[in-house]
Amino acid sequence: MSVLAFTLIVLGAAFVAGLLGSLTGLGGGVIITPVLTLYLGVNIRYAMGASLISVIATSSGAAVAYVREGFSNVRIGMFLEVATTFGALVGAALSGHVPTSALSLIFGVVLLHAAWQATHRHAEAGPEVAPDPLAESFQLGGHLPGLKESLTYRAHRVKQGFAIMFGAGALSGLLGIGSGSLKVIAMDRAMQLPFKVSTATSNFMIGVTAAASAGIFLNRGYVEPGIVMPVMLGVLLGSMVGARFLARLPVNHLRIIFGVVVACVAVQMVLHGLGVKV
Amino acid sequence: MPGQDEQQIDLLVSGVLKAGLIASSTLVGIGSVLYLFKHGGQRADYSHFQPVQGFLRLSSEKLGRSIITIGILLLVLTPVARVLLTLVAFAKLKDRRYVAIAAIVSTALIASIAGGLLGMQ
Repeated sequence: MSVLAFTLIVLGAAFVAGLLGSLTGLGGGVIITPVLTLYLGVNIRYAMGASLISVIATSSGAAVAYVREGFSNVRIGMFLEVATTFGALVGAALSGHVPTSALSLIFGVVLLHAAWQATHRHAEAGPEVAPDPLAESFQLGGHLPGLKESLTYRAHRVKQGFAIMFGAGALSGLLGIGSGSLKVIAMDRAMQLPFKVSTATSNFMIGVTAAASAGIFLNRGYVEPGIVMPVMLGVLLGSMVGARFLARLPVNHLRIIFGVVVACVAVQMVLHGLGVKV
Repeated sequence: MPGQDEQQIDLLVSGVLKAGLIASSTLVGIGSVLYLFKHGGQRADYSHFQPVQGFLRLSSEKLGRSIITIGILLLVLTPVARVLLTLVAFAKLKDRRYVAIAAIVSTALIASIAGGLLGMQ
């Protein structure tokens, strides 16, 4: 295959990855990596580098609109980044001491369950539930723009959300994955934030998580300009288109898209655990 | 909870990200044209990983690749700029809690990028 044909195929796949990644808050790696390794025969190290850059591009590309329009909550994102950052440090320190294949397998199975759960709406805490004092003192709340009227929300069960975020960070450090799925689950299920706020804030956060690992990937030569160039341009375009869709997309449709993409991540993790690199 | 101050922070964050993206994608776009003119007809083979030394590897013979690399580096630095500027914004609001939060996140982020680039991990 010529370099030109390779570039065009990757550009197309990256567009789809950016679109789905920005809507679900998961980044684009779930599509980029298998297209590169299975279909185009790219070495797994180059695929990991491209996938990492795709997450940063998706995050920033969509966040321009999400932050401006009030879908991504900057305070909640920054607050939880403390947990993911420390989790990542602990995870990186533990790597080498923990059997990562077993961990991938367990995480994959957990995610399969989460994917099934995510497609179902759950009861959201109404205004009668007493506010979490932590949410009050850290101002973890905001207004969600709606089609007709805006919705005021605030975070619940902040400690539980913070703990899951720490776990998400640790898994990123241990397995070298973005763990956007756990981030969305922490905000949606534990903190009971509106689903669109959860996916858009996860999308906002994963750029920082991925950037933290970028130094080591660049240093090791995983970031090959010839592969990353179409990945980055395609993902940016896709994420900007995705960000325009989010406001109009019904939440139950978004939940189904999220569930399907998380199920794909789960299958990848199970295969990783069994020693198949995709 | 959110007020005028909050909206200003949102606009600042959004603006920083936009500026970073325009700069990095312009460089990658220019680099890609040069790269494809030179290498577009060659065979794409990335099946083997070739270990390299150093992260920038800029050279005038490989101008397209070098410009793309600088663009990628700018993209990676965009979230860093975002975190640092929110730190400044929270400091202006005299919001000590969030200054501390932004300081923790930015220190850890910069340390891990720098540590990685210098091969300390």
